[in-house]
Amino acid sequence: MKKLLILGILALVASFMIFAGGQEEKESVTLEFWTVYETDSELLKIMRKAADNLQERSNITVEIVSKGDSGFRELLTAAALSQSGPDLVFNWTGLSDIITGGRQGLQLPLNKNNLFTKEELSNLLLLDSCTDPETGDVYGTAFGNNYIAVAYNKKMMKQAGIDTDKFPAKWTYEEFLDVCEKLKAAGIAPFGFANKEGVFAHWWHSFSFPTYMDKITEVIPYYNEKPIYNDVFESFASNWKAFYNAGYYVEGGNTISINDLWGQFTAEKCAIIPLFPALYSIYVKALGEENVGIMEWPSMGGNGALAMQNPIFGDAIGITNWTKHPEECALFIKELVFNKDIVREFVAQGLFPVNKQFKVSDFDIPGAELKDFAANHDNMATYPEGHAFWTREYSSAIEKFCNSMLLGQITPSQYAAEIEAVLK
Amino acid sequence: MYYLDIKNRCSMPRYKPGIENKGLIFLLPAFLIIVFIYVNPIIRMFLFSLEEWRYLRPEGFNNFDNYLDLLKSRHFYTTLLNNVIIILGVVPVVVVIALSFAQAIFSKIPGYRLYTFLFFIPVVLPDIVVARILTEILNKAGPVNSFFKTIGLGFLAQDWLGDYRYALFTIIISLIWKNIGFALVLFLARLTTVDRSIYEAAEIDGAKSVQKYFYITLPLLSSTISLYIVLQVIGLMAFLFNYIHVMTAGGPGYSSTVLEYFIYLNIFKLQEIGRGSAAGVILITITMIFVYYYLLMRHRASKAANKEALSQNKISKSW
Repeated sequence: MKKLLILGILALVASFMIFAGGQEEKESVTLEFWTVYETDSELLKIMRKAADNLQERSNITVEIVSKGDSGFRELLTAAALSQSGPDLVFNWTGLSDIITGGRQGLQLPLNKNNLFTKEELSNLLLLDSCTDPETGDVYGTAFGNNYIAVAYNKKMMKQAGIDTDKFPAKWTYEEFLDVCEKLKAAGIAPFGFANKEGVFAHWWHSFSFPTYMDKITEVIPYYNEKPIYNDVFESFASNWKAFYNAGYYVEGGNTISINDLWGQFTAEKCAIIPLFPALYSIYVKALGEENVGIMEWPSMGGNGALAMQNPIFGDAIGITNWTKHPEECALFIKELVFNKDIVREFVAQGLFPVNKQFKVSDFDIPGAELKDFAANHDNMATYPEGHAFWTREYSSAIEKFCNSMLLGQITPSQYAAEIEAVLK
Repeated sequence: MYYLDIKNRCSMPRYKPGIENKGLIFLLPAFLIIVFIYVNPIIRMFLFSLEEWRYLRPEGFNNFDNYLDLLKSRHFYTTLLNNVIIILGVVPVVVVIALSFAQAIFSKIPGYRLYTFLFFIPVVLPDIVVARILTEILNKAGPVNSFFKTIGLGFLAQDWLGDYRYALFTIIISLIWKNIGFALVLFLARLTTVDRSIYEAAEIDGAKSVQKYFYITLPLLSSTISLYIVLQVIGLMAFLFNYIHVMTAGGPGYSSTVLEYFIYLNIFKLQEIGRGSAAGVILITITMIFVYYYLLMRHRASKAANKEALSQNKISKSW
């Protein structure tokens, strides 16, 4: 009897050890994600929150590494060349960055590895900007929909005698020039300018040139084929040069680094500055919410249908070609894009949803300015901004020769010729 | 123990067969590491320059098409010319100024220690720091232009870094400022080793200061000056990236792009790996010519020093 009792107890203990303590723990996975968002930015904090959510319900840890904006493309080039580095990378839908990255072997296609279903992909905005038109490979997805807008300093506008309460949702070109002239007359630099690397020129060229077109696809021949110089190009380039010659940019900006552009606005060296969602919180922190106004990107002198529409582009994310954990990477991306709580946090920072199932107006946005802007967004006519379609050679020529053209060292036709020289 | 052969051999330990081979074996691991770190990238770059590249992927050898492409590019010649202009603008000016101040400091003019200190400050500052400071100072809306406007010289307030007429000139001035200190210290060190009795003898013979300078000082410094020039040329061919990237990003256009920066633009901006590598091979070739010349000069200087030692009848010791 005693022997039976002892055997029974031993069997009980053995079965407990096998079933309760003997289960293998799933191996934990750590992913590395490179992003351009600064360490103290609100958008990075939201990404950390998404990473925490994922960690809570799975064995996946995402280490988010802030690499900053400057030199980020070069970092990605080095990673693609060496086929080593992080598991996830931030990229842009513009400058054909994410598509080029895919072709370089930086990112793997999301639609060819069972990482996303067809239905999931079809629910995403800006997917065309991530899709290689030659192969159909989808090299990533936008996780945030950036409207391109301008922020303005209300205090400086008031100093120049400009009533910001009467501002329309979007300036016509004449209205924009009028505001700039009044600011200049009051001794205030109207528009921020930091173009040493030529990145600012990309934006101006990309946001302004399409305003001469009716559809965004009309820019494609200008970015890929010769010749590009014609009346439209001459008009666009001359308008730009006239804007520069009128002294509407911060002085000396053609030798200031793009990293110092935002500082011109937060240090009140200029009254108007480009606004991308990642920057809104930085401006507000520096100047106070009551001093920062937002409006859509001004019409830039073009006479096409796109002149009164608003360009958008995506902050995107891709899974690297060499990662050993593509499924886990996909889960993190889905957390950013499909989790309504995370999307709500992004919207609060002005980064609008890419998931077509969410409307901006579904979310409660703090801050009166951003709220008003967002309320218009769902009804805003938008187009994916032009530099999603241009080649790297095209952007390189703009970087090199934009300032030469603005400074009068070369004419608009010579500027076009320099760009044509790099087009294959 | 040293053995000095009266038949003009260099002073060396007496040869004992077997010892040298064992020494080489011990050096082999370090040698292999150095070959891997230094030689391997150069060989790979040469191979890259012979390949056709598409989206960072090699697609087979294309013979020398990348070199032909480069030789057809007018921007390539612009960058080479910029290098030459920088060398011709910096080297003579640095040598003349450094020589003048070295002589003055050697003569212990009032405040000579302060001058040495002030000239050496730019040398110890990192290139990036110097470039950043100068970029801020020379900005069109910066303190230099503000100063010119304040003192009524507004016509001097130019866009020093943003105007293609002045960008390269501004880089040259910056490099002169950065490099005078090192040359000064080098020449000063050589001057202190000169036997003063030569000057005393010249004074007794009635030589004036200018004559002493041109007939004694400069000839004695000539080997140091030559070595410095060669080193400086190598530096100005291959170590300008920090200045160009921070101050002008090679612009406007290609007006301040040098060959080193041209390589960076091709590889990282245009992603023309083949063409960028070809430019890298050309840069290395040009630099190696100067390095070879530098080593030749060192060897000749060493031989000349040994001849001098022999002619002064040093004590010889034998085993």
